[in-house]
Amino acid sequence: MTTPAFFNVLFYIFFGYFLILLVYYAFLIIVGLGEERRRWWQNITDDYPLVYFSSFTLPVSVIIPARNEEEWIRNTILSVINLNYPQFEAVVVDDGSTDRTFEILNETLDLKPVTVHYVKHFKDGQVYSIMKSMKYPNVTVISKSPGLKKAGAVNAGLNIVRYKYVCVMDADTILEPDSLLKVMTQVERDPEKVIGIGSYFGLVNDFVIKDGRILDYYFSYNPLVAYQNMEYIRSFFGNRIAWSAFNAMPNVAGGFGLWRKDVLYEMGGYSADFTCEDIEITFRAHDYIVKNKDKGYKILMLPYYVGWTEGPSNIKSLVSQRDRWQRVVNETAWSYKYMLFNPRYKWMGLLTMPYFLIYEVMGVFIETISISVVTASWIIGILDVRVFLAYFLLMLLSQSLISVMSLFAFVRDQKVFRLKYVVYLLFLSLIELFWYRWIISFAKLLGTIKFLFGYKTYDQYVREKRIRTS
Amino acid sequence: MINYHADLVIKVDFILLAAYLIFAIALVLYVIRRDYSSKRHARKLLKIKENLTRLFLSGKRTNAATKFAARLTPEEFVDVQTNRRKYTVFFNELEQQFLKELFVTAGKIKELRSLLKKPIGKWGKIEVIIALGYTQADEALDILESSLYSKDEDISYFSTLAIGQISAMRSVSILMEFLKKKPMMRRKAASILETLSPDITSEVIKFADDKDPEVRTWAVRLLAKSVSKDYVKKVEELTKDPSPEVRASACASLAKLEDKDSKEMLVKRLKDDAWFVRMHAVKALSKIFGKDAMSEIMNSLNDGSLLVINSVRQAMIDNIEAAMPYIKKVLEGTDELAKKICKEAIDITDMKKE
Repeated sequence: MTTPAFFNVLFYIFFGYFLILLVYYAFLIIVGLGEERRRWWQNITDDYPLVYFSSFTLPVSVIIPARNEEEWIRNTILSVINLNYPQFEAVVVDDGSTDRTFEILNETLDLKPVTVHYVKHFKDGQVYSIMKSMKYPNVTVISKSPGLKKAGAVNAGLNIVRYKYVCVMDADTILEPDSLLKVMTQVERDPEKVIGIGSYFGLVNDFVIKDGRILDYYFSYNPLVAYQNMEYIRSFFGNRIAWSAFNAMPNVAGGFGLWRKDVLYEMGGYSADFTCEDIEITFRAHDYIVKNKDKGYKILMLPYYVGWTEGPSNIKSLVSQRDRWQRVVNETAWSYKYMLFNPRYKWMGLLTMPYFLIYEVMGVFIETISISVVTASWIIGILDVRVFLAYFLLMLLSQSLISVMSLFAFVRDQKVFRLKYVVYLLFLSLIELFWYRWIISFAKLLGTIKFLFGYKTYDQYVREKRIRTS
Repeated sequence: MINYHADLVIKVDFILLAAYLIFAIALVLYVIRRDYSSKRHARKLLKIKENLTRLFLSGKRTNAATKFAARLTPEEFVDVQTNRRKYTVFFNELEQQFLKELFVTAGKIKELRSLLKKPIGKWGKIEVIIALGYTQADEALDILESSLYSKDEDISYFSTLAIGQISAMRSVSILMEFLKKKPMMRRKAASILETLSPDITSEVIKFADDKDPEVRTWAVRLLAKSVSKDYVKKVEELTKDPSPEVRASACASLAKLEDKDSKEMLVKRLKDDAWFVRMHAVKALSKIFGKDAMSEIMNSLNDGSLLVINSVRQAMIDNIEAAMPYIKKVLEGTDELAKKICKEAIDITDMKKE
């Protein structure tokens, strides 16, 4: 193939990719704006005290899997204990921690071992002991062997929980006091149909936290953290809310996700065969929806802040996290490839799966190659500087436009960012392609290579900072 | 040098840049305007609060008071009644009640009714519906009943909530009828019904013989809220209902009503085919009769369902002294599961004592 012909092919691939991505995002954001507005109105007009005081309100079991979470576990468990919800239990699963996690749990909860008839419905590893809190009667702690990742720990919790709705969260997530109330109010609008529900959560880095309560919502200006804030917004407000409107939501995030227990039971619990468990269980739930299509099941995503989780604050941790995410994306896309363009899966097969394949799986190659080829061509003198800049700007502006549109959708209904922070994020969106994008692309490439080699370890990143308490 | 499609790409760049700038500027302006609007709205609410206090202290329902109420929008009225902007201005119960009276006197219900017919958008209509509910006036019920069956899920949902604000027997009959017709909203309707202040049972009892077992289930659950004991017999009857869900709910309701005549019926239910009926029967026997029902409850320790066994364990914990002779017998026996459950009950009781 001649050089001009080669460039012609590349041009159509890259140009088509960015154009499709832009149109796709624009479409989802327009749908999402309507859906978010609806949820916003519902939120400000709903009668939460009615749900809180009703004896018919559905109780919830909260499962908190924890492995080496000494930095966060106390605040996390206290944030759960402080929940404004009429009836719930919390089950903390200590997944073989080697640090002070268990010691802190014991100090906070005053634990005492109890004999409990434990039935192994799901694969969970070896359970060493089950303890009840002497301070908080609705809190139980399971101590178990490690090895089956978060999935095994959640399964251990599932084996013991009592209630029909199960909230699965991370041990480094601080819940908002009204999170369960808000989410369950939505579930109660149609409890027979809602089988899974997630909601938005942001990054807690630099917040001031004491005893599980957030005292100051200070959004971090560390560019790495700010970029992650923007990515969360792009992900939740750029597409997940709209996917939810089509009942095609591919990921009820592991940081906060609520499921109907009977459905989890019928699906066989969480699978430890994947690097992470959250995307896979959501895809499996879509399979379940299709198998029970007469029941009209739904998986929803809400735009309410339900909690705050810690994001990596250095490049090494970020790469480790994104490499893991990329592996699970690839694993899930590969395992559920039959959903692609499959009309039985409706919008999940026609709208979400193509995005997953083109953007989440293939995107890293297309973006990296397009930027590399254009840059290399300019360096070796095939392209003149004007053409190079035109192509580079195309990539930069399409990414920035997606960011600004998502940010607009977010800021319209969420009043947490001040003007200064919005302007800062706008500035960051313009320079993302110069450095942050490359870190993420590198991590994604690494994740893809590891996926190809069958690497499935859950690498927990090392915490760098201590929590601010004042 | 290759110049592939550069002109086209530059054109697209300009379009993207223009779009980016439009969104960025709109975003910044929106945030500025949003902050300004919040402050303005807070000032407005503060003014309403001042006016309310002044008018209330004057002690007269003057023309000025009526005019003041007449000027309020449904949104402002709802702001006052729900305190949804409590972080800026908080209204106490006296202020809310006073405004409610002024609002109705000023003829606002008629105005809200005509507003519902205007093109004010779905959420505008919902604000009107909620405002109608907060007037707590019986005359609002006609309007709300018609919006209750709207095809729009949200209008129907918020109409249910609004009807729940009006404590009248008619609200009960409307909501019970709604519960029957809209399966999706049954839990919400029941939650509202249990908050209504008139004794709802005379209305609810009409649905205890409904053809739909789910309606009967909700009826029996709501009967448990009865302040009068006249309906206990009906609940007792429902422990023999063909539907296991109804039987289970009847057992749970008998526990709530603490019906002392129900022992025989509940003991019969310990042999029910459905495990959840047996579980609720154990719970009810433990709650109503405590130590006097331990011998019957302990027979369920070898039940086939673990959940029934767990409720037996809980009954043992709640009545440990009465349960001890039975526990000793079990511990001397050979049933390993029963022994384990008894040990758990002793462990948890010891832990509670500590």
